[in-house]
Amino acid sequence: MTALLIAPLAGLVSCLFDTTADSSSKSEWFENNGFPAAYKVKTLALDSLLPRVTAVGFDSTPVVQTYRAALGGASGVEQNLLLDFGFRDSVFLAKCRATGVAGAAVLRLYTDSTFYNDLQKASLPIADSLQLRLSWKLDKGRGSAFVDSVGDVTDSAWVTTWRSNSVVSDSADTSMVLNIAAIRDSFDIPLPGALRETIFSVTDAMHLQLRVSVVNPARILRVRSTKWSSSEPLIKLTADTLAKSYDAYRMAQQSRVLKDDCDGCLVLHGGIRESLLVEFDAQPILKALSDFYDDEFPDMQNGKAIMDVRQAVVMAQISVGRDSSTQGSELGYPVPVFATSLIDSLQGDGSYWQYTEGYKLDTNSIKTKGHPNLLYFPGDSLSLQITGALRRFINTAATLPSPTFRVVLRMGRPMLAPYDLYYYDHTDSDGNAVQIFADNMAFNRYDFAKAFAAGAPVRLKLWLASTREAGQ
Amino acid sequence: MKLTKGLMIPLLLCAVSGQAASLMGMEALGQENTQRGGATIRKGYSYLNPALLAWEDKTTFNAQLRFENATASESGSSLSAQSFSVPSLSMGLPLGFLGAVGIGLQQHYTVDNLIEYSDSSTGIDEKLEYQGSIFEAVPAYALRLPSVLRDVSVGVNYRVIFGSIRRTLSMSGQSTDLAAGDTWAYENARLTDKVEGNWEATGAMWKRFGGSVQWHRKSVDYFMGYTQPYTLRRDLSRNLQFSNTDTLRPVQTEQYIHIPAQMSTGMHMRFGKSHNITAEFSQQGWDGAIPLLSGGWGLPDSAELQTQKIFSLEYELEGSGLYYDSFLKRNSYRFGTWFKDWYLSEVSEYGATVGMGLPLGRRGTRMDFSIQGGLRSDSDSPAWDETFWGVQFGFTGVGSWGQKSRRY
Repeated sequence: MTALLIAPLAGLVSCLFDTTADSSSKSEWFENNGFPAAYKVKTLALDSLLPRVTAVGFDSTPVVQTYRAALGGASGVEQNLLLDFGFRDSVFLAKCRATGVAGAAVLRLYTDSTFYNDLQKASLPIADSLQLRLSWKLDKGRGSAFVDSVGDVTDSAWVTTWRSNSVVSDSADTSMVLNIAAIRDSFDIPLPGALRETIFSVTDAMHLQLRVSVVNPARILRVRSTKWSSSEPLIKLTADTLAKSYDAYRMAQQSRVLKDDCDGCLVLHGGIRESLLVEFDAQPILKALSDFYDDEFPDMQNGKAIMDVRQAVVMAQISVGRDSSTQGSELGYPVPVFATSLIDSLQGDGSYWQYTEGYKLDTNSIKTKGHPNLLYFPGDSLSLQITGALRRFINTAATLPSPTFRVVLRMGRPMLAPYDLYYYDHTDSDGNAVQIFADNMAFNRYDFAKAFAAGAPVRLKLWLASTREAGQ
Repeated sequence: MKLTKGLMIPLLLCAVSGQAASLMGMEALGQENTQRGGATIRKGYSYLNPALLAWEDKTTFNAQLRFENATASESGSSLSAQSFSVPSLSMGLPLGFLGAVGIGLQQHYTVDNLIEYSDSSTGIDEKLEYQGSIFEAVPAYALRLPSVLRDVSVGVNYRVIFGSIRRTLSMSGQSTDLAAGDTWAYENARLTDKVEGNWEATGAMWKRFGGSVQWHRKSVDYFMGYTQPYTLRRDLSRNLQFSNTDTLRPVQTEQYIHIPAQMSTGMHMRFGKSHNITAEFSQQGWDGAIPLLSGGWGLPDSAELQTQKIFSLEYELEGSGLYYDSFLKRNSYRFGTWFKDWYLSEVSEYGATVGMGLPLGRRGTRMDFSIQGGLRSDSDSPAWDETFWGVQFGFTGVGSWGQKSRRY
C-alpha cells in the first residue's frame, strides 16, 4: 500500500542536477562506460518492390462545409450542394401566396472571394448559361418549436441521412445565366415553379432540405457556406415590394465520382474523400534487412523479438515514377500527396490502426527541386515519406504470422509555394506573408498506373539506425 | 511533537527525491545507503538492529538529510555530480511492557544522475539520465526479555520493498559514409533508448523478515543482526523512441536479483563519563553477477559481484545531559571512519566523518550535523575513481506520548 502511494511521487518531486565537467571529460566518460556517442546511420535501398494490391476507396458521405463549398463538376467528379432550411412566417407566406409571381423565390449563393482572389483571378468574369437540378423535401410544421427542432439536429446526423437518396422526394430543373464579375459577388438561382408553389403553400413553419446540382457542368464554382458571416446561403422570397430572406442552417457538399472509361488506369481524385491503398509484399523487405545485417531479422530470442536498435528506422521513403504534366489538374497548381499508414494491430486479428505520416523537409533539395511529394509539378519522380509505416512494420513483423505493409495515399490542397523551406504559412525576410497551402481544395484527377500498377517497380529507401557497421 | 508532525509530510516528499551522486553501479542497483555508527546501536531506530528500539523510552522521530558531491576522475578527466537526498525517515513508539514498535523508510539503493554532453563540431548531442531507488519500508518490533535476561532485547523487522528505475539515453545520429544528399534524413532525429521498470520482492513472504539481539548495559552494548536472503524482481520495459508518441513496441523483460543474507554485529563501550567508542561490522555475501539495465547498444549486460563488507569505527564525546550546562558542554562531538567493499566487484570505499550533535530542547530533541569525505575506487580498468564529500543533517524529534518502557 505504501508502495502504491509513494512510488508515483518518485517521478514527481525529483530535481536533477546535471553533472559538471568539461565536454572532453564527459565524452571520455561515455566512451569508457560503453555508451555510444551517437547512433550510426546506414542506408539501404530496395529497387524493385512490387505492389501486391492497389485499390481506390471513396467515401460518399456528404461533408458538412462551414466556410466554403463547391458546386459543379470537373476532373471526373461532380459536386452537389445540400442545404437545410427551417423557418416560419405565416403572414408573409400568405402574402407570397396571394402575389405568386415568377422569380419571387430564389436561392442566393455568395462566391468564395478567397478562392477567386488567390487562385482563380484570371477565370473572372464568368458568364455561363447554367442548367440546375433542384431536388427537395419539404416538411410542414407548426410553431417555433418546429423550426428549433431543425436547428437541433447535429450536422453529422444530418449528413448521414443524406447517404440514402430517399431524402429528397421531388425534383425539378431550373436554368439561369450565371454572371460573376467581381471577386466578391453573389448569384441567385431561381427556384423552380413547383418548389416555389410548395413553399408558398406553407401556412406556418417548414423544414426544407434541398439538393442543388449542375446539369452537364463545365466547371466547379466556389461558394461561401453558413459560417461565413453575412454571406450565408439563403432563400429570398419576394411579395410585391417586400422581400424576406432565410439563412440556411447548414450546408454540405456531396461528391460523386463519374464513371472513368480509362482502361488500365489507377485513378485517384483530389478534393474529395478518395484514397489509394497500396500494399506491398512483406517478405522482400525483411529479406533485404536480413541480408543487410547478415543476420536473422528480426532478431528473436526465446520467441520474443529483442529490443534492437536495428529496428529503429530513422527515415523511410518510397519513390515512384511520375508524370510532370498538369493534365487532370483543375487549377494547375502542384498538389502534395499525403501518406497514411495502416498499421497491423498486435492482436493479430487483421485489425489495424491508422498513422498519419510526418513529413521531414529535405531543405537542400527543396530549394532547387521543390518538394518531392508533389503532383502536377516538374520532375519525374514522386517521393513519399513512410517512416512510421516502416518502423511499425518491422516492429510487428516478428510477431505476426502474415504482416502486411500498407500505405494509403490521398491528395492535399494546392501548394502555392513549392520551393519555400517552410511547410506552414509564414512571413518571409522581406516582410511578405507567404501562404504555403491554398485554403481551397482543388478537384484533380491523377492516374497512378505509371507509379503502382503494371509491374512498375517501387523504390524503397531506408535510413537505419545502427550500433554497428553492416555485416559485422 | 507538533514540530515533528509538521515536518513529517514535506520530509516524506523529499525522501523520494533523493539522489546518489556516485556514478558507480548506475546500471546495477545503484549506490547503497548505509546507516553507521551510533545510529545502529545506541539510540533510536535501526534497519540492521531492530532490537535497539526496546531501549528507547520516548517516542522519537528521525530524519536524515544529505548533500553529496562526488568527483569521478580518470587520467586527467573529471566529472562531478551532486546529490541531495533524504536517505532515511524513521519513528519509534515505546509501548511499555509490550515492547516497542517502529517504522523506517529508507532509500536503500539509489541511482540518480544526469549527464549531458554536446559538441557542435562533431554534431554529438547526448543525454543520459538515471533515476531510481529501491525503497524499503521497514516496520519493526522489539521486546526486552524478562527476569535474568533483562539486559537482553530481541527485535524483528520486515521489509516492504518497492521502487522504480528509469534510464533514458538520448542521442543524435551520425554517419561517416552517407552521401551528402542523404544526411538530411537524420538531422534533428534524436533517438532515445528508454528503460523503465519497477522493483518488487518475490518469493516467500517470510524471507523478508530480519532480526537482531542486543545486550545492553550502562556502559556497554553488543548486538548481532541477521537479514535473510531474498529475491528482487525488476520488471523492465525497454523501448526505442523518436518522440514520446513515436516509439517502437516496448520489449518487456524480467530480471531477478538475488539479495544475499546480511550478518551484522556491533559493539559500543563507554569510558568514563562521556567517552564512547562504537565499532561495527557487516557482511553480505554477494556472489556471481547481477543483470544490468543494458540495452541494444552493446552495453555490458551483467556486473561481477563481490562480498560486501562494511567496517566502521566511531568515537563520540557525549555532551552533558544537564539542561543548565553551557551550550558547548551539552553538544556531542564525533569522529568516525569507515571502510566498505561494495557489492560490485573491485569497488571499495574509504571515508571519514566529523560531526556534532546539538540538543534542541529539554526533552532530547536534537540536531546532528556531520561532514563526510572519502574515496571510492574501482580497480577495474578503465575505471573512474571517485572522491566525495558530503554534509549530513539529522533531526531527532522526541514526543511526550507513548508509555515509558518498563524498568526492572
